[in-house]
Amino acid sequence: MRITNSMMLSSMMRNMGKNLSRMNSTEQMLSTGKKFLAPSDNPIGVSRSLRLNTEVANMEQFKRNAEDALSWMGTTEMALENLSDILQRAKELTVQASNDTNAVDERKAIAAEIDQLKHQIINIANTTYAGSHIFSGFKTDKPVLASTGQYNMTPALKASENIEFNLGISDKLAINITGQRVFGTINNGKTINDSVDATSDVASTHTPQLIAVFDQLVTDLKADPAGNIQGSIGRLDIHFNNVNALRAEVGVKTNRIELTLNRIDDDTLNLKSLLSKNEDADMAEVIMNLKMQENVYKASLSGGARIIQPSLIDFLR
Amino acid sequence: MRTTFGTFNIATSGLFASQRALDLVSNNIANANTEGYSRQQMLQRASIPIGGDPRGLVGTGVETYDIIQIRSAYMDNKYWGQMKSYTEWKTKSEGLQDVEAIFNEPSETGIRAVMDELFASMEELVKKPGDNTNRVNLIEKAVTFSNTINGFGKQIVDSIREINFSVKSKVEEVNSLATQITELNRQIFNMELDGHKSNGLRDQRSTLVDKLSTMVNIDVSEVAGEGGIKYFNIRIGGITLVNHYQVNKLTVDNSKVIDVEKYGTGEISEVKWAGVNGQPLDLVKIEGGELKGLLDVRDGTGENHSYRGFPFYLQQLNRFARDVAKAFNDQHKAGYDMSGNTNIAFFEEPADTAAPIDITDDWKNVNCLNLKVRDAVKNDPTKVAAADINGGESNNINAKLLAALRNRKDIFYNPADPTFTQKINGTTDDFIKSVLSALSVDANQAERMTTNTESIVEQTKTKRMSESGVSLDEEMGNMVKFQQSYNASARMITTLDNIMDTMINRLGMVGR
Repeated sequence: MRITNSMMLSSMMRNMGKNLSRMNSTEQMLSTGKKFLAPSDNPIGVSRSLRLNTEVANMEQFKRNAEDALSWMGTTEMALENLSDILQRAKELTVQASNDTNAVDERKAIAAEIDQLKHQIINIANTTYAGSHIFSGFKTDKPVLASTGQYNMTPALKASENIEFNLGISDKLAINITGQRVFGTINNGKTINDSVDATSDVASTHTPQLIAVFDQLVTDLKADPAGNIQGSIGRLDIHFNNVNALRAEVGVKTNRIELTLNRIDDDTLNLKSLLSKNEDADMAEVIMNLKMQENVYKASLSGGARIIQPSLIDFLR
Repeated sequence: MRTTFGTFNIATSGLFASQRALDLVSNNIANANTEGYSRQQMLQRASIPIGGDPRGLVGTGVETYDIIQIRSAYMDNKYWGQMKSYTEWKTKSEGLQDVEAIFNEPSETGIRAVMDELFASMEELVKKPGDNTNRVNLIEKAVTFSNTINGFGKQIVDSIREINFSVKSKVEEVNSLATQITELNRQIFNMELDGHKSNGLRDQRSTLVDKLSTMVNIDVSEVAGEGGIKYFNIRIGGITLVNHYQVNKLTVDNSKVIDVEKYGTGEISEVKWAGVNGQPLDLVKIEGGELKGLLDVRDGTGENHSYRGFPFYLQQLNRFARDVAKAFNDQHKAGYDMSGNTNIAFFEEPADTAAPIDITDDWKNVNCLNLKVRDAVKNDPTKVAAADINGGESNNINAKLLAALRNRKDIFYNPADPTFTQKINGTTDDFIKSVLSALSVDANQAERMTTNTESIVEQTKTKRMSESGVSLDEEMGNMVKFQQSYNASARMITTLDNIMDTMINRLGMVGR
């Protein structure tokens, strides 16, 4: 083949351009730390990256959800623990009062304390977490009990008003306990049942069973002769067990959230390492490649300088 | 019979021939870097001897009879044929690079990140729907989402406008080149009619055809007419663009009614033959070159195996905006806001002002350019319908269903079904992913094709240069050769001069 000067020059320029563009893309890898910058650089990698990034974002959101659920649970657990302590104390006082040797005055003193305990129960019922009343179902802006001890819910609080948080794509958890499950319910003025009615809707026409038990107890204690105090002991026991059962439920849920959190942490770590494997450039390799391409470029430059210069012109005199 | 001064003539012809050859060497060297120049060669031969001498014929010197250019028509045609695929793919590749820049993935600001944030804001709403900050946050994220989609749509429509402008200017360029070529045809024809050579003009014409071949697919032919005179013709898709002296111009027809769904607003120019009275005739069959690339990128909808250009991405975005707004609104309308109102649309469902259509179908008018959170919702965050019935500030049941839209697979309607009943399987993430993978595969292919076709074109270009290019070494060699032969001829004249001197001045002195 006949070789001409312009031919050599143009093919040298072309090859040099190729070397430069290779160096440019390696340099971009080095400065961004990523293997690809545009979808066309690596179609499959980019689509994987999109999916993994979304999953990481999901996991981070679920983690925030789980942490919020955990603090809400913590508040519920505290409230139930206090309630349990109050019931314990009330039981002790009632047992003490049931002793026939107590005079009316002593029983009245006990009645005063029981009444105080009732007010504490009302306070606990209206516990808030970050401004939300935790036992009010969806109506977290309203306290579940009025200061008189009546239910305060209009419209009625349904037992089904469970606030669910998403802890996973199809993993939901109810984080609240509705008021009637803790305090039971009876219609105003009706007699007290021996079991806790936790499922009926409650509105302002309803009284919490627990409050009714305390009211009855106070009335019985103040009466002369004393009323059926023994009956109250039995009812207090039923509520004590109910509260403890709810505490166990909260404990189990808390445990589940903690396990979920651990799993989310593991998943996030896995996803992030997959993401890194997928899109992060191997710096050592990139630098090596860059050095190699630099050398090739330099060689082609010096080669070019040698090609261009000598021709017959240099040897003619 | 040999004459006394005949030898002078022989030597002089040698001098002249060497001189002309040196002129040619000089011209070749001077044009070594001229674009499109092909080297020229002088042809010379021994001149006819004078007869009549029985002892044999001695020649009468040298004569130069032609100057030819070294150029292969075969290579030219090959180059012009290959150039069109290279420029076509290069243009497509550049167009898709624009789309990639618009979508801007992978990044922390692309559609994926925006969607992640939108759904994260819904999850926050699920946790505390009573908190106004969560509602405001959701609205802001939804505004960012719609703005992002609007921005994509607007940039695509702008790109279509720019490409349309490029199409128009390319058509102008084709016309201008064709006119210049006919001018050159006239000059070349006139010169060659007189028997002259027009090497330089031919080079110029080839350079113009080189340029034309980057823009559109052309067939070039040079047919010999009567008396061996050549007529030069160029055709596009079988129809004549240049017929020797005449040019059949292209024109753009802007009267096409365009589909807003594919192009957005604005005009779309079709490339047609201008015809005799300037009335547009038929569409030009464009099968290669920059024009083909531009048209494919401007018009390609991906339907019926056509190229996936800007309209494809605009349509996909339109579908995405419309179907997501529809699904979100349907779910939102099912819920109740803080004041117990229901049936509230979240995204604007603009009424079509053009045609009085069923009011319940307004959602079909949503596209990527007009997707927008309703002002009524934007101005009053309590209107976000997080609850299922009027039941308390923490009722998050509808908020949960809204957040669950992310994993629902029945969002998108089948585009092939005009009745909007069939759906296609896939989540919002799947949709975006499939659009981006179409983009990445196409852009990748366009880039690869560009590289491949470029190397083919480069190869032919190299072959052309190998044949027609000026080699300085060769010219230097020729220079020395012709210089020496010039010297030798000059020496010949000196020698003859001596002979003559002797013969005229010294001969016949004996008797004096």
